[in-house]
Amino acid sequence: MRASEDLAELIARVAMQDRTSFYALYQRMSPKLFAICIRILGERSEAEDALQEIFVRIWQRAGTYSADGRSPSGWLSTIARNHAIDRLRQRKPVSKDIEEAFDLADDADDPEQSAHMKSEGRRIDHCMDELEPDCASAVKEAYVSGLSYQELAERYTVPLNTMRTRLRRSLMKLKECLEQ
Amino acid sequence: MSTPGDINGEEPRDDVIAAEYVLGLLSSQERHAAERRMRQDRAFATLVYDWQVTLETLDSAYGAEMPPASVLGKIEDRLFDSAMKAENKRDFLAGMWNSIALWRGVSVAAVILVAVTFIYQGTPFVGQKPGFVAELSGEDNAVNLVARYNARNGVVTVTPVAAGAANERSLELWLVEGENPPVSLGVLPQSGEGELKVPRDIKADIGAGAYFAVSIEPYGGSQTGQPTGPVIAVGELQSL
Repeated sequence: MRASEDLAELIARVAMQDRTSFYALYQRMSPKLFAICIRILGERSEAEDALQEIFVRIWQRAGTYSADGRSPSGWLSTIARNHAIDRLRQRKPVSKDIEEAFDLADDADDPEQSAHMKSEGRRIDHCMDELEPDCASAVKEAYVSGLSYQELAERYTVPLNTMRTRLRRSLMKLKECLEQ
Repeated sequence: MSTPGDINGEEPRDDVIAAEYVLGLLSSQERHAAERRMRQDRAFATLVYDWQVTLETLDSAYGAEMPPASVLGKIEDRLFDSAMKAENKRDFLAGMWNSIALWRGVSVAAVILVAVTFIYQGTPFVGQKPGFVAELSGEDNAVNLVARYNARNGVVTVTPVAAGAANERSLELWLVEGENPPVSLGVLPQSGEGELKVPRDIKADIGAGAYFAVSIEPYGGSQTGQPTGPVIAVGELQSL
């Protein structure tokens, strides 16, 4: 838990406009947030622009982070994912290298996450296991790579509406399982 | 929101929309609508928050990728005005010079300049600006690096020759020039040949007589602005 407390403290200091902490936060988190940008945007130069914008936002919004249960790394990743997905969705109809999008990164053990997420992680893993394998991986791929329903439909070679229906059903099932 | 209806022809439930927002499935327009709603509808905002917390375990699928050093410079340009930036950099690097003096010192805690090799390559790029090269090697042979600086495009190319560093560490490259405080040129890629783009304001400082130094830092680079781990290699830049 220590790593995640440190990270929360850094964000708190950044909220007080402490630049040394901002640099430290950048050194520590930019590789991970950059990986998110590359994964979702698929293109390095755009990922660099996105990363720039993300850290500008982190500087500006650090004050809105409060330790109300959200893990600091989750909060930072959300800023990164949201921005990368916004960019992706603003593009003209997708021309992403699908192969690359599915090239799953290895699940490197991230101390900031693994500490915080052990219990939550087990629960969602269990609930994901309850879904049909295709549906579970579609949920993961949508989240991790920022795929649209259209791209998922192509990937699983099913009609768009079928994909949408299946995924929504999976999400409701997931929710029910998590609430048990 | 123009989300198509559900299986039973019904509008999707709010928690499904919230999940779709968090997964990133919505269109740009739908995303904006969802964000507007989050600001006005606390219950909906809570649904989104819950999904974010639930799904963040999937973040472990992302690896880590070192961004080029130029990105931080651009962020600084946007956030900090230049006078304050200079002051800040001085703070950031304060005290570093002392440790550099240490690096060059006789006592060898970790540091020794083992060999500086002059690499002669004839005149391969007639009419172009000169480049520089330094071979950086450490006492314990943990890593040998060849760093080349191309003055034309401002790129430092670093080739680890025998990398054997512990995998949870990063190698950080520093420029040491005259009596000026050392400047971080960035964190070297974890494996293989890597390039670091030198920030424009540092380019002028790179020339013969300056040193490149590499220290072992926590993953992602020094958090203090000073080398916190051993300096494993130092090398003087020589004209090509």
